Amino acid sequence: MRLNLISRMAKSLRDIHDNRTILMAMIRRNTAGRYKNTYVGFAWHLLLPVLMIIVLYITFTNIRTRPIEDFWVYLSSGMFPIMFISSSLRGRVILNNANYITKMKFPREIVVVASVITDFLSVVFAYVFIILVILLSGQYVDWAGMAMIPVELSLMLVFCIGCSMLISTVTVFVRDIGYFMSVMMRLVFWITPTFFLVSEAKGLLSDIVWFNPFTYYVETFHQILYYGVFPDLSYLGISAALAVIFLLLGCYVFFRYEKRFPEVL
Amino acid sequence: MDDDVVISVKGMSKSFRIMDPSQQQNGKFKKKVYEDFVVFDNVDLEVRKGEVVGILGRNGCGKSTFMKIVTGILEPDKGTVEVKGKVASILELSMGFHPDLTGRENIFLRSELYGIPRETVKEHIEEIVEYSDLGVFIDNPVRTYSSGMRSRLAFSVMVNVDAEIFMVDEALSTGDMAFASKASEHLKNLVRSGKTVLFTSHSLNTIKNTCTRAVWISDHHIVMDGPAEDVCDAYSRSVNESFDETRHLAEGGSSSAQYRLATFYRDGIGTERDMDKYRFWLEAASSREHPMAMVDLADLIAEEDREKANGLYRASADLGNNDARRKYAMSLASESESIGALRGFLEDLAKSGYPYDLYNYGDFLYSTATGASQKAEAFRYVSEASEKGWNDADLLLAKMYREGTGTPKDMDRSTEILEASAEKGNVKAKLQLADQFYMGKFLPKDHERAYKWYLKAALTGNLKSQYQVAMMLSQGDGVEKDEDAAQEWYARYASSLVNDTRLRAVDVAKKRDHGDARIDGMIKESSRNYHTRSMMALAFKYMEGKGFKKNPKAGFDLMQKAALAQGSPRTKLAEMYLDGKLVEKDEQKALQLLKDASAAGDAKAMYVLACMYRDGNVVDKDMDAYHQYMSMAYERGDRDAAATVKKWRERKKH
Repeated sequence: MRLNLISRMAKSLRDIHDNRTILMAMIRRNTAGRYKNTYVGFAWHLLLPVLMIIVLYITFTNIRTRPIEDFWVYLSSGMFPIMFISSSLRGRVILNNANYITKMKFPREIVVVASVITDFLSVVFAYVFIILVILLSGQYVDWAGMAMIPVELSLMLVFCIGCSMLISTVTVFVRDIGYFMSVMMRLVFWITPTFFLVSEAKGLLSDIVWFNPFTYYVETFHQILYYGVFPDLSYLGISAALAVIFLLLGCYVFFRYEKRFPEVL
Repeated sequence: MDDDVVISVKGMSKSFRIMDPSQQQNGKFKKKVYEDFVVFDNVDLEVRKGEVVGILGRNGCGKSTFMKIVTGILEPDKGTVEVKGKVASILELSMGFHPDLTGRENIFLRSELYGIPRETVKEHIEEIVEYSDLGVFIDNPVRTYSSGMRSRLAFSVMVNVDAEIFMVDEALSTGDMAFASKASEHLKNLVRSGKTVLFTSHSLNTIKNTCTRAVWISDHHIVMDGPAEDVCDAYSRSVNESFDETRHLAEGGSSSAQYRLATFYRDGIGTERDMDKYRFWLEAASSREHPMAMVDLADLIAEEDREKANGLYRASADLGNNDARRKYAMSLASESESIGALRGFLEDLAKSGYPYDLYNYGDFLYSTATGASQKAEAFRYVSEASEKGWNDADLLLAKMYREGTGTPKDMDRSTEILEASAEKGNVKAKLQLADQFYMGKFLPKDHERAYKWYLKAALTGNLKSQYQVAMMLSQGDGVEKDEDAAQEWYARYASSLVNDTRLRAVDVAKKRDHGDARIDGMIKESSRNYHTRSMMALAFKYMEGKGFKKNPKAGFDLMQKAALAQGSPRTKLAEMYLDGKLVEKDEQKALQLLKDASAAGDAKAMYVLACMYRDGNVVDKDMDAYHQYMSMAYERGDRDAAATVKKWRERKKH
């Protein structure tokens, strides 16, 4: 391995810290720019996931009746991670920011990190909101479990940064991947237990559901918020392992090929 | 690295992998076959602190790649690139604007992208807004801005960026004039404060005005590196002469390139001569209203379709082309009697074969020519006049070779003619040559040769040349720096300015036959400044012992100096050699001087020569030569010759 991955990652952390102004600027650009000239403005960041939950709730309760108790809690506690993951795995981050990559000298990973953090902020806001609603509606909560939410969110952030670095790098060289991923994300939505219980899964689905890495993150949130228990340690462990593996993999691929970005873009 | 060197590129090579175009089918790549496309091959460059370096080259030569490599965005394949100090790259001014955010918000965004903390931007925001000069637009979304306004906004942010090295790519090409000058002023300020700037632009003028140094990139290498002005001149010459480049631009629809391409086909530059293609591209250029192309096309078709030609002249004249105006007027007038009569008259005169008449008719044809055959005829007459030694004809002939009027374009021939004429003593030719070498116009810039010719012209009393010589001496430009000599020439120039006034006083004094010491002093001074006429006047005074102690030797020396110039002093000198009083008799030398003087247009010399041929004195008796020289002297207004010619005519009548 020509690339000394660990020291490169440490350098990258320092670089990001040194260039935090650029990171902040990019996040601000992503958020402030996105909802500019709308009436609700930044609130869309929260409104969007909540409205999404409402639509799904109506679909799955009134149109196709599902007998899951407190279905809205189940839906909203597991839906945000999957929305976050699929938005950060679209793979076109580097392509969309080609302008910066080819014209500015700065740590290029900032583009990826800024994009993931932007989506992450949306999830955090959504969870803050939904937790307040859950508490107000008098649902039972396990406080020790609740304390694990920030941990699990952080693991998910690391996991997504890793995945995004991996997929967006590949997409730079093989652009088909970007389109392929948007189809894959639709599949992931249907095979991740967000609107069905894992125990309900039958046939093929019951086999692949545990091969789906996203299941572990979603199920952890389900356990904390829906079941109101301390999450299964094995789920936490697998979440952490996945985060580390994908971060290493993503960084390896990214740092290996980033020098060629300006030439290919 | 040397302390002063802030950018050091050593042995840098860079190539890109591109797909082999032969493998491409229907826009898809069936099988991926890569080829290396070499952008740079072993390039070295050092930039010192405080330099403003312009980078030149045709599209795709690697200007931007070079900037990106120095900035660190791209990595070289081989070699090293060392940069000392913080680099601010403004590789594209419109980069990173969010169209929906206001100008003010974008200032924050962009400044932060340059790494300036938000707090610092807040402190300077009013300053930046004011500098951008965007008025109320500053609080409107950037998508409502014109491209010029975007550049202004971007540039005003850059003003606040602090770095040691600035990279600016094509930045100043947009924006209105006022802003462009403001921007270039800012760049100069940066330079004054010791910042280094690397900068590419398509506008050669911008580079000339802004940069201290320029680098020309072509064929993977730096082909020229030097003072901005020199490199820009060399570059623009090469672009103008490059056939492929021109054809590329012409096919892309640039009318000026189409016109240039047409002249390439006409003159066979970079390609075979091809009059059909000449006409094709002329038509293309004139359909895009290129005024000069319209005139040339009209010239070309004047004989087959006068009406259409007149229409083209008219249209070009309406676009403001003076040549076309004159030709349109001429074309209309040529059908009228008066101009036809004038032409007939001049043509009759030219039949005599005298250089002056040949030149006059040639010049008339040159300025009125409306067709290729007339141009060719003009060329014939002018070249004949020039062969017979007519100075003005030399200049016009050189011009015709340069423009390709009536003959294929031939720059070398043009220069040759000018040089020969200048060697012969033609001051106008000397000056023109010197100017061309100096400005690099039509000829490659060569200040040493320019100096040589300026000096020659200055020695014959040419004012402009005296000034140039003084200037070049004081700047050490084209000649070793010599302040003392420069001072002397400046003084000469200053007094030459008044020489002519002085001489008028001398003439007046002569008529009244005053022996005024003051006037004698003036003459002496003027002659020290190589004022030919003063030198002659002084020489006479020495010889005659008027006002000065009689000193024939000094008079002769002075006359010899004056004869450096041309014409009449040479004749005087020849007379001295002939009578052998002041100096040993030397008939051959006298003959040569007389010939030179007569070629330079001195009537007296022609008369003396005519007499020599008549009498068989020094030369063999030759009555044809006698008649020719005598008529020439008459044409030039020599009184003795006039008397002789009058006698001939009376004899003829009888």
